[in-house]
Amino acid sequence: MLKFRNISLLRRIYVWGLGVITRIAYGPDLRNAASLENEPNPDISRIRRINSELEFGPGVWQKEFIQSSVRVSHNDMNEAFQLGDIANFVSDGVQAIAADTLTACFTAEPPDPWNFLTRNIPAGQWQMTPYNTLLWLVGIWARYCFLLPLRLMVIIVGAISFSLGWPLATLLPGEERKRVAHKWLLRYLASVVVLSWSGYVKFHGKRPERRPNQIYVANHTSPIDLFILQKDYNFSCIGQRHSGLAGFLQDLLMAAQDHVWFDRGEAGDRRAVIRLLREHVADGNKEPMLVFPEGTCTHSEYCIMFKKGSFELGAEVHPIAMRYRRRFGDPFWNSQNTSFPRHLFELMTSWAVVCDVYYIDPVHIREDETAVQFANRVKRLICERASLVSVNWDGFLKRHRISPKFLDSRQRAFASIITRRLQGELPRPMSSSALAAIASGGLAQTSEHPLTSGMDSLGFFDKRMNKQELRAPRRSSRLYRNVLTLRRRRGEDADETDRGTIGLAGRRQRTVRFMESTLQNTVRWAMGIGLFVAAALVTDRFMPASWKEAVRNGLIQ
Amino acid sequence: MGANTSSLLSEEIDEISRQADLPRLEVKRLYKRFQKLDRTQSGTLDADELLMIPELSMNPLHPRLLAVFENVNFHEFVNNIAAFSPSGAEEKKVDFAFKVYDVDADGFISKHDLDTVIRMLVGEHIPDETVQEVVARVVEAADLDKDGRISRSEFTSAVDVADLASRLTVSF
Repeated sequence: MLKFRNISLLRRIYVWGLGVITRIAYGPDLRNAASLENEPNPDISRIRRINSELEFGPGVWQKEFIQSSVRVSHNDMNEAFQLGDIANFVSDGVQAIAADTLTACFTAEPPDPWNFLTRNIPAGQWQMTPYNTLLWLVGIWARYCFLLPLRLMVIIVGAISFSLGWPLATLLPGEERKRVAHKWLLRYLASVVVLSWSGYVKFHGKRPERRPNQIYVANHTSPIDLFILQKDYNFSCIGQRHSGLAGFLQDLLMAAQDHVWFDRGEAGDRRAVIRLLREHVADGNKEPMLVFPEGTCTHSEYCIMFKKGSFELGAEVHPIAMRYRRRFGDPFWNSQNTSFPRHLFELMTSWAVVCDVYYIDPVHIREDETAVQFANRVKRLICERASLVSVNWDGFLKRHRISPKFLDSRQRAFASIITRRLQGELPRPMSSSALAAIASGGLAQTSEHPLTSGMDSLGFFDKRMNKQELRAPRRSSRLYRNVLTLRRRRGEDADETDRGTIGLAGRRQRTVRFMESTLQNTVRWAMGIGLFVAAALVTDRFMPASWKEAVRNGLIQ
Repeated sequence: MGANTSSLLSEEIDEISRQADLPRLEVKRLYKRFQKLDRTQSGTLDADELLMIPELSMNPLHPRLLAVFENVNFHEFVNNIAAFSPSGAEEKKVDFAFKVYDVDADGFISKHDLDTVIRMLVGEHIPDETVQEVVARVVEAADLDKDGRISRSEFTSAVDVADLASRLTVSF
């Protein structure tokens, strides 16, 4: 039974088919887009600086930021303060206003347009060419007229069979058998819900086993995380009490299992929650506790700070890394502007939810480690496994202002630089133009980059980010992608012209290329029109005669 | 201004993009950003809304940046930010730096202005006399006509304009 959990033949074929269709439909663009999709390109160096500041204080910030800001412009090597010294503070502030790294974690960056999901396309970023419009119409038809009814049916049938099965299971003889049947039914319900968004989930690693004193922690993108994990194993969860549909589902789960739902507004709740959590974790008879220590839903490419609560219990921590592929639907729930039913509806009218779940080997707190450090270590494990961008912001900052102590420690850092400079201890680095002047005077200096040490020795970023920084300049991701795509295209063009100069062989190659692109376009259009006609024929076949009549009358009038 | 991008008309985008010398795409992106920051949907950004950006809240110079960005509509918002674009004129960038120092907005950086700004940068971590000493030295070095304050032209000759402009450039 356990071995079969990743076998979902139909869904695999479906997702594969979607992939093939997009590849034909959008041709070589897809290749660029697809290889970029898995590499978010946010402002990595900025995130690094902020991460380190939030975790270790302003040391690196001081080194990297102020010192590079406090440069000598003329010959006043020892001047404590110069008028140009505010430059980095000002540009950093303006940058924060224009785009900040906290908001990036909670903003649904739309998936690329080749997934036919137009509601996610920001205005002006993608041209509706006739061909794209055709595909889009087919997409709308398929998603709303075909997938949605099918999925609603799945949900209804699933819910009915579940509600029939539940009382039947209660009639079973023996407590143990009853419990097993109920657990199975809950997993069944979760799989039904996952199926309703064509969830294609791959589980990696060992399936959980219940032992006392263990706790599972996972990164959080949307409440649907819960269904996906519940599908594989019965977890108990802890979370904020919701209202509406989400609240109803919570009540339903509560009736069947032990969960802890709390209300953030209530002051006394916090201590009670920790007590409940402790008791639950220690009790080996209850389901293992699943915690989302980020405390809020985060965009699927980022992971924000883990709150320390679940790491101080002294329990064995089992990290779970979840990575969504946003190709065929965006799973991020932005609770600020989307209600939960609406979120579910959007998922049900998307193509598919593709997700990888990695169970990571359990870790224990080290003797010399605080709960915060331990939480950060676990977070690093998860980020590395799921290739997430690690950001150290507290989810709490989404709604509240940051504590002034960070401002104060920055002021202290700058004050210490001024003081040291006044005492003549800290010479200023050269400004770029002063350096240029020296270089043009024939005194070119090889200066080592002042920032390379420090951070890396802390081993604080996953390696992927380092690599990315080498490759990627600072750019907001969307713009950067466009630039990169452009650059790649230009690069390819350059190759072509190089080859073209060879002569006859080059000309032949160009002809072949031309034929290839013609063939490709023909296939694309044929497929587009084919899909459209197919959609029309199916509609014609299944539409009731009275509706047709109504449409015809409507058209004539 | 309404709740979605569509309320920004295409002509408005064109106009703003021409005035601020930014690509249309950037103007649209900034509009989305502006709406996100404008939590109350009032059409202007107030200090509380801006300070919800933790990176700004942590910035020692945030009171001065707020003075520029507070209560502005989208149009001015874009113009302020456009000064920092890689294609922005050096003149505009230096102007912005000058405005940051010129706390009382009288067109001159007085000793008092400079004292206020340095006080923001170091908080309570340096004694008053030291700050005053630093201020006196900066003003003395830059003040060419010896009137005890720094004018706009004195500011230009006191700073390394090319270096300052290159560091007042933001990729957004």
